[in-house]
Amino acid sequence: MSAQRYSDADRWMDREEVQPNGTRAMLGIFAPAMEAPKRFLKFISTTPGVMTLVSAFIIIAILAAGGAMTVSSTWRQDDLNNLITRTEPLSNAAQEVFNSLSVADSAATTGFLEPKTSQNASLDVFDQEIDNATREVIKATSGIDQVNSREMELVLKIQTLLPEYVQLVSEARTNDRFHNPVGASYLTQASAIMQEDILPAARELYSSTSEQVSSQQRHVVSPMWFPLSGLLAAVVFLIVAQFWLFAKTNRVFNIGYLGATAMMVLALLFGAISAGITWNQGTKGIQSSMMPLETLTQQRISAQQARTGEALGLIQRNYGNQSQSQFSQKIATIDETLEDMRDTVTSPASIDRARESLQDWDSAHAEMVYQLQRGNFTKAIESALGSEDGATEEQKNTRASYSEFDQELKELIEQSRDQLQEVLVSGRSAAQATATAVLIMTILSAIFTLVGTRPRLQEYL
Amino acid sequence: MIVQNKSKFFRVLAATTAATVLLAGCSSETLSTPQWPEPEDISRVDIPSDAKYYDAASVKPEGVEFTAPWGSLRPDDAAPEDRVPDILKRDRIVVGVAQSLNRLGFRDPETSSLTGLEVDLAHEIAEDIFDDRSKVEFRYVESRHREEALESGDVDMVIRTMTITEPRQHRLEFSIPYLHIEERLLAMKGSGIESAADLSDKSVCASQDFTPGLLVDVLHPKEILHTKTWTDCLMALQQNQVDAVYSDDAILSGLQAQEPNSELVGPALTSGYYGIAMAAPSPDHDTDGLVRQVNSTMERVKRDGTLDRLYARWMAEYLGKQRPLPADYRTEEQSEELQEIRAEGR
Repeated sequence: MSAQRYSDADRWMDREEVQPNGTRAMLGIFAPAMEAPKRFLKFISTTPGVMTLVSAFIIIAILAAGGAMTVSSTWRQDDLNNLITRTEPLSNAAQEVFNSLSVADSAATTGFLEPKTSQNASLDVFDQEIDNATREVIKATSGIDQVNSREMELVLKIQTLLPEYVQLVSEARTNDRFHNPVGASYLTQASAIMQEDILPAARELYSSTSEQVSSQQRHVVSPMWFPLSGLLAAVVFLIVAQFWLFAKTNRVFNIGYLGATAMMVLALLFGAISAGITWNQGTKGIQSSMMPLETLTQQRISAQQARTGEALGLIQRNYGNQSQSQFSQKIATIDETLEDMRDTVTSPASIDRARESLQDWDSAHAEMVYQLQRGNFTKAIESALGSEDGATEEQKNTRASYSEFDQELKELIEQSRDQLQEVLVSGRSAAQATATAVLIMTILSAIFTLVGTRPRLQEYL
Repeated sequence: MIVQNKSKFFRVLAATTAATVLLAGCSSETLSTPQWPEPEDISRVDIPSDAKYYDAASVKPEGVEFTAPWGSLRPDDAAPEDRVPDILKRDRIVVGVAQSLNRLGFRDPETSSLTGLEVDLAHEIAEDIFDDRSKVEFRYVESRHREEALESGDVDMVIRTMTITEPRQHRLEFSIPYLHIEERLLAMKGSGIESAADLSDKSVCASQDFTPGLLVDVLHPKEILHTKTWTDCLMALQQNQVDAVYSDDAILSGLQAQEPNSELVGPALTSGYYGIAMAAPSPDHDTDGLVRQVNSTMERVKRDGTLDRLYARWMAEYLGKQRPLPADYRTEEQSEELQEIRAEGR
């Protein structure tokens, strides 16, 4: 490494391993840059320098705290939007699928018992519910983000089996029209697919999506502690800065700083109160809407399954003691669950009415079984469907009592869902208001700080 | 100097490009096409409920040794009041029937009432006891629970495609026969199945009236679908899940009537007679009088042409001319012998 070899000043560029020359040259570039901090250090050692630095620090703190709050509120809004526009509709669609399919199966079986000569109302119900289920499955699909998720798998399963089911029911109906006993086999088979494969899939889809709604909802109502603490810190800085300024300048009040402090306190209060209200209402909302919604839906389906079993027993005519005890058990469970949740719903009267219908149904069912076991098929059908010539009001039949029950539960479910939506929408508008208000107050606060610092600085310049 | 600078610039550029290409290569690996979940195999979801497939190779064949059945109890001249006082007191007979066997016992979808050859026969029995055809309470009995239902007294009698066999007589008592049956195959037209010999690579359906072992012994099929009811077998045949149904021709004709494209094929594999089943007379369950009462009705319907009319109405179209029915009654000695066998079994 002779010095001569590197005498050409430009050669260093291709000889990176040669450090000494390089370092010297680097210093040549950075030397002027090093001057700036020096000058800066000199500046801030003066009073106006410190003042500038403090006010800059405060403005940054204010903007950071307000910005964090605004950004968090916006994210929160996004989460709520996602919940309102995707997760909750997905869960609702799943609820609709679950319910429609169950009602359709119930209608298909009871339709088999009705006289074929009259206008067959069950047929219309069946068609409507299948249409509805098909649409809701598609709606549910649009709310699923991951194609390889379990939800997608369930939707695919339902979509694959549904045509199979509908085809078996049509086959059953056609055979029934030709008085072929094989129709009962087709119907039994269709119902088995529905009860053993499709409905469990729909149930899983519903419970997993409503679980998502619950957990997301719990998340979006929790207070945003981090940005709130930032706001609090900004307020503390402002107050400390004012004491310092008082000590430095001997002026008790600085209008700018006071205004800035007031703005930040307002922003903090706004954020805290809005968080408190959202948390309080949201938690209550989960208690009074999401949880009952799930339970009510489960009970409604459970009742529909009991109804389907009842009708299928009549069709197969093998309604034994086992089916009877299963029925009673199901009814007792539903009754108990409804009793337990009486205080959590908004209209306990509906629960009372539903339970009353349930009792009527149970006794009408007992009458049906009694007639069936005595071999009185016509009377049994009468107590299941109600007699043709419009029986007296007194005479309860299982169809009427079941319909009343189902109607009450349907209304309760709708109420709960409305309530849930209300909670979510009000949460979203609260988040939106917080974001806007905090943003405005932060900007004002920063301006106030500048305004408060400027005259003090001018005194020195 | 400029050239050298340039060369460095190009080296950096080349390195950067290479890195970018590499990175791009990596990211294209992570951006694979979405993995859709594989649908579960549902090809056998739609087989009849409670039905089961058996691979014939794994089923042990069980042959049945044929023993001639015993005769029945000869009707005496006693009045119903003496033969069946309990039933008269109850004011109705309880009869176990099928509810989905076309032409034998089934629910008419239009009127919701039970009808068929076996149902009509029950009405004839009620006519002779009460002078009132309608005093019958029908119970649906599943084929595998027929014997229990009789022994427990749930039903007085079972008129439901029960073939009179000697082993069954150990537990039950039969009336004289009301129908001659042959076991045959039902297949879709043009299926190429002409006899049991064509079944070696085919699947065959039967209800729980037959054990899988028996089916393997008689038919040697590739696969067996064992269903709860006979109409389930027809459904499986219509849905291409099985190639043939094996059963008594009386049952098969009822199925054939529901599917115009099916036909009874092959020669009769075995034959037998349907009888009305009752519990065997025992000290705590005296059915002796009931059996004689039922047999006297059987004698009457054969004598006055009622049975011929019923056959013509329900069966003739598919089974052709009525085949002669024997009326064997056992002697006192035979009765004692049978009582001993029954006592041993208990």
